[in-house]
Amino acid sequence: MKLDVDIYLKQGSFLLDAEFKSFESALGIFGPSGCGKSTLFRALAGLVRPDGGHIVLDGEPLFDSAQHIFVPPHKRSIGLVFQDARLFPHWSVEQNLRAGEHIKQRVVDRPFSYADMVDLLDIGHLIERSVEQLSGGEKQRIAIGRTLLSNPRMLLMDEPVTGLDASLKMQILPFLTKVHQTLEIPTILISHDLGEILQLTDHLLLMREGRAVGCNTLEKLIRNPQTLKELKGADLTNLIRVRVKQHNENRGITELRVYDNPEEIIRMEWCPDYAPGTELTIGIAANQIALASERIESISMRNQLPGYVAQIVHASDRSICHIETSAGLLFAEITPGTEQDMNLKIGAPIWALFKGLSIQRL
Amino acid sequence: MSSLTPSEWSAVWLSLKVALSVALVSAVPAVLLGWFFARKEFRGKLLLESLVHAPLVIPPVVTGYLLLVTFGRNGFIGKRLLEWADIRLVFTWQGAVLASAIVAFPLAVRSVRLAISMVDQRLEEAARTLGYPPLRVFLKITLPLAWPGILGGILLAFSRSLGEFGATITFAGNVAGSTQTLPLAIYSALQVPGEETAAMRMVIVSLVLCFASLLISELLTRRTKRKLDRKI
Repeated sequence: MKLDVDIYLKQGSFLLDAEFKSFESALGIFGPSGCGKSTLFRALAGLVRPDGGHIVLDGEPLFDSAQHIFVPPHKRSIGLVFQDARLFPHWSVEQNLRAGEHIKQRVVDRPFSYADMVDLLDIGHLIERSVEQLSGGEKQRIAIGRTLLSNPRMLLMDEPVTGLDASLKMQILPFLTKVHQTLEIPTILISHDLGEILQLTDHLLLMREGRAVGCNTLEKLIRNPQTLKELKGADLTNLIRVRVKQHNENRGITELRVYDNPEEIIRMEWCPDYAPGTELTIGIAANQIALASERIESISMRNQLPGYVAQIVHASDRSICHIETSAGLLFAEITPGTEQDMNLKIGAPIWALFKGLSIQRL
Repeated sequence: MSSLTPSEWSAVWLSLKVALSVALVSAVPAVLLGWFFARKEFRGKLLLESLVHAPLVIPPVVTGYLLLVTFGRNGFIGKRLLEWADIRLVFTWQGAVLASAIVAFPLAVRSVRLAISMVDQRLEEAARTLGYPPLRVFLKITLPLAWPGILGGILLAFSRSLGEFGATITFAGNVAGSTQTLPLAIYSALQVPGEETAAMRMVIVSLVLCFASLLISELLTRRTKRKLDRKI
């Protein structure tokens, strides 16, 4: 996806003034509520017309105030999954799913069938039901299926799991990742939960008060004090690409090789779902990493990585210590007191410690 | 009380014919205008709405008089209709339809507007992102969801036409067999001494007809509300 956005839009006292470019196949939009994320989506989908600027997708201008171009929503072929599922109450589940199939050409070009989608979203048992009988999570799955079956060239998802309980989130989020990977549809996901976005991508657009205040990978955003400030309140997570080495059932651990440095082994709780050799991304929350000045032998922390302090960034609510380790750059959240007590200086050798249990599979 | 005489029957049939014609003639314009008022904001909307709704408050006899002035033989429109198409509305049953339609139309428009404004616009947005052009959104989403309310509005116009008196007698006249609808026949019967039983018979028929259609209209409106109250 090549998306070039520079728009402004005044709605009452709110001003959306966003400029960003993205070349990623997936992008997460992160920001506090009321920062204009949903309005930005409405502008991308064509449901509102910005007062000025341009939106260009893969070279095609969808909106350009200077050239008086405004492509109406039904001609944009941009799918939007709303926070509230918005199923049509007068139609059956199947009619809802097939709602976007009225454009023949889109169905012909579609790389998957209706049956494939029913399989992928695991909704076969819901087809016979009426829309009112569905639970919140089921409605949202139908809404996602409905949008995908219209074969959009880009998929926008506006907090698709907000308001659902944790177990439902864990049901739907992996679906979204699977859908994105299997169907290769460029996807933009809005969430105020960084963890949700990271399941899909680590490319982020940060928004605040109607403006795009950062667009980069999470790692680069954390490195920059300016953008780190914008991540206020987010649970910062270190992402490490690994390959499963072996399972050790007796000791209850699974060993992982760091992808970029196969010498380095990370141990997580026993997880036989992944065959040895499988590549995956793991996440370690920045506030789950402890620092030590030397290796500690008798401690329950399975993982101890040597490194040195690369940088310390201070934001209003926390300080982030960047540690260059054998598994790559890690971010550890620290208090100012820690910094003084341990006399942390740039270049000082340090060990990063974390429990195998604090590793999240993404 | 004996059954209706042939001339009373003809008044009943004429009333039904006029009311049905009003319903048919006003249905499409009322839906379009109701949708327009419910969904569009534009300059002069208030003025246009007032104009459409004016017959609700203007004395029907004044409406009838204004129709006579515009659609009469020498009226601004009536003259041209007669010259170009040889159509005469004044003192015909089609004239009664026109008079009733003008009076009943605002009721239909109001009901349609209410029914359409109750349809969740977020559903229409969802349809647009699925590739539905505006007309398809209207036909597939808005219209079916608002349908019972729209039907109720048209029935309301039908009911109102059954009872129309002032505008009809002024513009279409009171000609037995051609423009004498039920209310006009009742009025005529009351003018003649000894016709009280005939008047009473027609009053009962009139009440039954109006109540029945009003009841159906109310039921349909409620059904729309119920249908749209379900949160999906």
